[in-house]
Amino acid sequence: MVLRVGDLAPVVRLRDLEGQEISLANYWKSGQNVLLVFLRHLG
Amino acid sequence: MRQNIEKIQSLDTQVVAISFGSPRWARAWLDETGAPFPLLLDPARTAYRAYGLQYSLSRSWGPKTFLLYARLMLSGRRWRGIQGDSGQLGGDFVVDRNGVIRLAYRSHDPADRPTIGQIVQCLEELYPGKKEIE
Repeated sequence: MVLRVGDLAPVVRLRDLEGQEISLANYWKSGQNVLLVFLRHLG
Repeated sequence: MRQNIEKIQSLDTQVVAISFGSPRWARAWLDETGAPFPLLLDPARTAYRAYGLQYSLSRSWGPKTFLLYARLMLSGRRWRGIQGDSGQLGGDFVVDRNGVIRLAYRSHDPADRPTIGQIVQCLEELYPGKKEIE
């Protein structure tokens, strides 16, 4: 199933550069909109 | 890039970058671009798959990609080699504060990105200040 506008964003846990685990949901639960930029191989 | 980021941040929006590159590559990228936002690592590409981002080696290495690389090199970016799987394509998603996807843009090739105008328009529609004016 392809995600579309209006769907709930998948919640994935990733690590930052310090190795700390962060849930993507933390960002929108903080009360802000979020722009997720999935980088290509050169950014 | 910085001006665009400032515009996006001014619309009550947090920018978060996700990379499948190595931590070393990611740190170098942050240092070089001076990106004023968090960068998360996704070496297993779990999030890339969850968001339905495409994979295509042939589309990753078309003429547009080489032009993009050439342009970046000319603008002073350093060649750091290819990180991880070069067939993985990227994308950009706006998620609102309720966790709902408001913009879903999946790259057809590495040079394919949404315009800043597309992103700003989407965010302005979500910006509470704008609703009060309307």
